[in-house]
Formats: sequence, C-alpha cells, structure tokens
Amino acid sequence: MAVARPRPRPVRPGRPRLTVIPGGRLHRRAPGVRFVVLASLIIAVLVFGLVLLHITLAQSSFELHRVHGRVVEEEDRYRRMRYEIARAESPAKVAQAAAAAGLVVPEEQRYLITSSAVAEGPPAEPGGEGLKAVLSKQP
Amino acid sequence: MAAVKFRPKLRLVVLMLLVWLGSAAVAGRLVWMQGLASDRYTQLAAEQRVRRFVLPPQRGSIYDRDRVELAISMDMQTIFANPRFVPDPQAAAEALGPVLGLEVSMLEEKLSRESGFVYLARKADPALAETVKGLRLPGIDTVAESKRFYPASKLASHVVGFVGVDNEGLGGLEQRHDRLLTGTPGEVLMERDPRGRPIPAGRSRFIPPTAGHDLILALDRQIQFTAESALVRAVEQFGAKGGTIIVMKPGSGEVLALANLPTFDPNEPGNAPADTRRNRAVTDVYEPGSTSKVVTAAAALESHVIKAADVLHVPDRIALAGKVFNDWAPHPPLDITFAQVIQQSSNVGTIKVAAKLGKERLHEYMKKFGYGLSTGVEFPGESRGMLPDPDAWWETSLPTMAIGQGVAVTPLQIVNVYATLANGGVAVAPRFVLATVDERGTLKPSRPGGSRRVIAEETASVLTEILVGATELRHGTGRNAAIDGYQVAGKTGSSQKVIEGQPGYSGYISSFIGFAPAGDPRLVVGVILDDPRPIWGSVTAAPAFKEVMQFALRHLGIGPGPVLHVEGAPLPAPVRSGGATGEEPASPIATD
Repeated sequence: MAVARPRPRPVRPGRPRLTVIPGGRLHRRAPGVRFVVLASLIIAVLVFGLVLLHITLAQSSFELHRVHGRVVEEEDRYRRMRYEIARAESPAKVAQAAAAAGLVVPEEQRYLITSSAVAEGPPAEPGGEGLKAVLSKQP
Repeated sequence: MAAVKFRPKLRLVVLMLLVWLGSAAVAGRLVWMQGLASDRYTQLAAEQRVRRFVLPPQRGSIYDRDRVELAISMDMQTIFANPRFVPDPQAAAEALGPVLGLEVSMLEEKLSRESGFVYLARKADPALAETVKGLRLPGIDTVAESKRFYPASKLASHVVGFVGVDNEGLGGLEQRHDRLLTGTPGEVLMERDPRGRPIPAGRSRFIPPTAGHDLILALDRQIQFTAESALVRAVEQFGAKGGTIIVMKPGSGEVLALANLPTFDPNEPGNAPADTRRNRAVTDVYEPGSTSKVVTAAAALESHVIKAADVLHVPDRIALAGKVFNDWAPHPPLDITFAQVIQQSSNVGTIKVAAKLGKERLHEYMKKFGYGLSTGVEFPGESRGMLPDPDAWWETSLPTMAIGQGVAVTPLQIVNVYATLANGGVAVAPRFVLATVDERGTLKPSRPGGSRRVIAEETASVLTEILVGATELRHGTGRNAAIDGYQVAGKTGSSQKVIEGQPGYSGYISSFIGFAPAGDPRLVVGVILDDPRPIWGSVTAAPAFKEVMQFALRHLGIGPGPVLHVEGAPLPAPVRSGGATGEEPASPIATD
C-alpha cells in the first residue's frame, strides 16, 4: 500500500517590507461621514417626533373618551334632576300639599267692574261699584 | 476501492436549486397571501381585532305645553351574567338572591345554563347595580340601558301612551310618533387586542347617535288633572262604569285635556288590563243621543227649513212607520219655538223638523260635521264612527238619527261638532302636538290640522244663542252647567247604549257638551259618562262640565266676554214633572 504524501506547501512570494512614508495622510476620513451623521440625527429626530406625536394623539383620544364619558354622565344627571322636578311639580302632589296646608279651591269667582276698566259680561255683585268702594267695605 | 470525488460546483448548484425552490415557494405563498387572497386574510384579521358597537340613541321626551316632562328616559343598569365564567353558580346565587330580591334556586338555574348571556335584572336602579358590583362575583357584570319614566304617573296616560321593555312605542303618542322619538342609533368601530383593550392607533370610526325629537303637547297639566279628578268624582258619585272628559280650544283644535276612566299607570302598563289602556275618547263609539240634535238643528236652519223663532205644535209622542217616539217626559201638547224644542231637548219637536229636512240633507250635514270620518287627529286606533248611507236607511232611520240614535260617534267627534259651532261654523282638526324639538334644540311648530267651513257663521251664531238658552232659561235642561258670571252654551244628552255584539240597547250614556264664553268661545268641554244612575246628563254630566269649565276659564284667565241677548220666552207649562236638579222620570226614546 502506498503512503499518501502531503503536497508540498506552495511557496509564497516574499512579503514586502513595510516602511513609514513621511508626510502621508494617515488619518484621512471616509468622504461624507459628516453628512451621514447629520442625516442620521435628523432621521432620528423625525422618528422620535413622530412617535411623540403618536403618543400625544393616543393620549388625547383617551382624554376625549374620558370627557365624552363625563358628558354622558352629566347629561344623565340632568335628566334625573328634570325627572325629580317633574315629579315634585305633578298636579296630584301639588293638590295634596295644598290640601295638607289647608288651602281650598274657591267655589265662586266674581268679576269686579271698576271705574277705569270695564269687564264685559253680566255684572257681578256688587254691581256698578268702584273697586275702591268694594275694597273699603272689607274688614 | 476508488475514492468518490465530490465536485464543489455540483454541490453548490444543488444547494442553490434547493434554496431557489424554497424561496420560490415562500414567494409564491407571499404573493398568494398578500395579493390574490389578501382580501380574505384582511377580513379574517379584522374580524379578530375589529369590534362594532351599536350606540342606542336617547329617546326624545314628551312635554306638556308648559315644557314640564310627561315622559322622560334615563339610563338604568341591567345586571347580567355570563354563566360560562361563573365558577360556583350556587354561591353566586346565594350572594345575589338577597340583593336582587330573587329566589336563589331560580338564580342558580340561570347561572348554570349553557349560555354566554343571561339577564338577572333588567334596567335596575344604579344603586342596586353598584351593590352587585361590590360583590365582585366573576361572570357577573352590568350594562347601561335606557328606561322610560312618566313622572306624573297616570296623568294623561291615554294621550301620552307607553313603551315596551325595549323602548318601542306601544300606545298613544309614544306609538304614533315612535320613529320621531326614537332617533338614529350610532356606531363605534374599534380595534381591540386579544385582551379586549382598545388599540389607540388602530382602525376606528365613531358615528354618534342622533337623539330622538322631543314632543311638546297642547295638554295643560292643571286642566288635565282637574278633568281627571272631576271624572273620578262623577263616576264614583253616580256609579258609572267609566267616562271621558275632553277640553279643547275651538279655534286651533288644541286638546288641553283628555281624561278617560278606567285608566292605567304607564310606568307599569303590564299591571293594568289591556282594555284600560285604550283611549276611549278616540277609539270607542256610542250613539250621541240629544247632543246630536244640534246637527239636526244646524241642518234645518242652514237649509232654511225652519227659523229659531218658528212655532211648532209639539205633543209628547209621535208615531212614524209603526214606531212611537216619545219625549223624555209626558206633557200636554205645547206650542213652542224651535229654539225651545232644542233647549228642552224635545224628541218629538226635533223629529218633526227632521221630517221637513229629509234624509238626504240630514245625512249631508252629519257628514259635514264629521260623522263617519276621521277627525284628523291622527291618533292610533281612532275610530271613524258609523254613519249609514241614506240608501241603507230604514223608514224609522230619519227620526231615529235626528235625535242621535242609529249613528255612532267617538267622544272626540261629538266634542268637535261643538267646537265647530263655537268656531263660527268652521271645523278645525283636533291636535295633541304643538311642536317638536330636534336633536339640536331647534323648535319646530307643528302644522295645524286642516280647517273647513261646515255651516254659515250666522247659523252658528243662532245655534249658540239657542244653546245658551239651554243653560240659562228656567226650563233649559242644562242649568246645572251654568257658571256664575259667564254665558255657557251647551246641550245635555241621555242616549241609549248599544249592547256590544248584538242588536238592542241596555243602559245609557249621559253627556253634556258645551262651550264658553258664549259671546267669544274660547273653550269647549265634553263630559260623557257610561251608564250612570240617574241616567240624565243634566244631573250627572252637567255638574262635572261646570267644574272643569270653571277651572279652565279661571286658570287661563279668560273673562266673561261679550254678552249674547238670548231670545226665548218662558214656557207656558212645565215640560217635565221633575226639576233640573231632582230625579227625573226615565222615558224610553222609542217604543214599538
């Protein structure tokens, strides 16, 4: 059996000697770096601004929702108060309270004919007298 | 063995092909999903995230003419459960039972159902809902729901009407103007995350609900209350089965009050029998009796068949076509004027004049006054009454109808007849609604109903004077309706009552309808009582008329107005054996 022989290493050409070249521009930067940095900053600001705007809008929508809910609550409260007023003002309740306070509905109603103004219609008792004369008769 | 030699280039090609195939598959799938089937996937995604909520509109309120609420809606809290999230139905039922006032077993059954939603308490008080929330029971929650309230309870219940559990109008003006009162629902569309939280930047749309319109009615609460109280007293005092009182403004047709007995509380409509909820003033018909004689009189005067001062020979009975028609009390033959025939409500005198008028003209004027026609009030269930065609009249129809039997009218129709007289012979359609207020608060007056001339102003004037005599003359039948300081024009009625569903009569309808002040009519009031004892309208209905009219005149500050000089000499002999306020003998209208 033949033994495999490694192939000989290829011969590399000699490495050139490095020397310092005086007066060379060693720290020359890549062209447009400033532009790239500036652009990146601007984009970052814009993106951040957009995000901030979006957050503000979202917060405003929540606030709007909260205010709207408050409006609905106040409107409902207003209706409840109107309901309570209408209940309290119902003629049945008023009549009940009036009766409890001893008030009565007058049986008769008379029209007085005064000297300065004449109420049309059948003359009521006392007929033809002035208002002053009528009132002066009262205790 | 020879070594297998792999060529790097082939391996790379195979790998590249596999990558290309894979990429092509992914790309193809992307094209399919993003392009060809994008709509379907967008829809699926939206269904998962986007939720649509209907926002119910606020139902409009109903006000009286002074803008006080007769009907108003408020948010209440409906308590519900999702049984799938109730871990221990028994414990939850035991906790909720005492709070809700419900049986624990019934609650436990509800909470054990295979359902995602069950009602526990519908439209409950917010304080109760807070108590339930405080229990912190899983699967139990609340939601706001609007509920209708009627702060004045039974006041004007038949006019205002009522709603069902879902706030749909089921009677009265709530039903008639349901669409206007309901408004338009709104909508909220929003995207929610899997936890149900809204996504602020997501798709959203908000369409606010449009509130329903408010109604402002012509009703006056105070006059309505007075009418209802007077009706209750009259029904109780005279043992009537029920009744109706209507108060109207003749010039505009505005209905200031409309009271019916029996009545109901619209806050709990289900607790009252169905027949108490109908507006009898508009839906029920009856034979108007003597109150209809004004129509016969108007026809006769307008057709120049007779004049008010013409003298007639009037016995107490008359035979026509095999039937005998009586006056309501026996009396010797009298020579009285036509005006006195009406003032004393003589059947015989009226029939004699009707015979000269003829059936065609009588029918014509009945129709002109609105018999057999809708009043134009546009109220649900309004009946047109009954007026047979002249071709269908029997030989006895003319005398029968001339005295107000054999025709059928609703209380509103007959009150509108008197409103026409009060309005100088011009009929105006009655109306309940004065104006509406839209969601922006803009007031829109309702268009008044149509008006039409029925009789000449002069005829109306003559009739008014005749009717004043009915309340002022010594033997007028309406003296119990007279009001101190005012001239009242009116007519009594005591008519036989039709037996429902079969021919014949049983019982009586008593009525008084009139207007005041006669010289410048501003109000019309009609009182109709169902089967009172005694039967006479002069005794039962006239006092209630006086009470309501007197209050309404005072409440509205209406003075006596110009005085009419009423012609009419005292009667030579009493027509009846009883006085105006005493018990009067019953007398059949017609006998065979």
